[in-house]
Amino acid sequence: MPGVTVDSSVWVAAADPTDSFCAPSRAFFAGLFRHGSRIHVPAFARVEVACALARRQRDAPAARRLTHAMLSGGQVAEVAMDAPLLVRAQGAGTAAFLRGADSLFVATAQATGATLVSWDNELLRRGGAVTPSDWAAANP
Amino acid sequence: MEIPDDLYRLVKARCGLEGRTVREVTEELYRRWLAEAPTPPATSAEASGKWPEDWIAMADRIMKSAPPGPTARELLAEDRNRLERQ
Repeated sequence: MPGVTVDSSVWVAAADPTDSFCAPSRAFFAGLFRHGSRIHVPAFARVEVACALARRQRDAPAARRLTHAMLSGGQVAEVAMDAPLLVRAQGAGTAAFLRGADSLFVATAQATGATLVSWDNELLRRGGAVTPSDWAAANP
Repeated sequence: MEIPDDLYRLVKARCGLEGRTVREVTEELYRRWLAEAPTPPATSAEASGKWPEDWIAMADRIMKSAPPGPTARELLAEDRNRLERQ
């Protein structure tokens, strides 16, 4: 089964019980675990997820600990943001008029041959992403 | 205790500017650090235990005390969109 690149929107939705997308996000991660799917994220995801959780919880150390636990699963691979990835992100981002951060996730998915999974409207519309629910429906 | 020379030079210069001794500043920083809530590193169970159940349980514990307001995903979207013209 091809791997997945999981956008920060899905990570933070799964972490936040008050989010209306929390349950489908958690179900998605459980599905990834069940299938043993490889999860590729750009190293930048660690920063973006931790900062969003810290802003939500107003507890920086807790946000860092939680982010570390989330991204430390054996199935998760953080992809280095080296020159080749940034060149790819620049190409993908400019071609689809993406925001800079979004292009890093698109480039990571392209570089690893993974399916990009996101709740973000721009990534869904222009970045070739699918929602966690769509991924789960296609991978029962 | 060994401190890198370049760091010590900067500390000493700043102390000079503020009219304080290195000892005074060191003591103040220790006290401030001890007054902060301890930040234990993620345990091995949190880092590599039963994924994703462990971090989901951890998230529930941590987020229980989150103040009311936008969700983390909404904050993230806001952050990503902040320069977009609506």
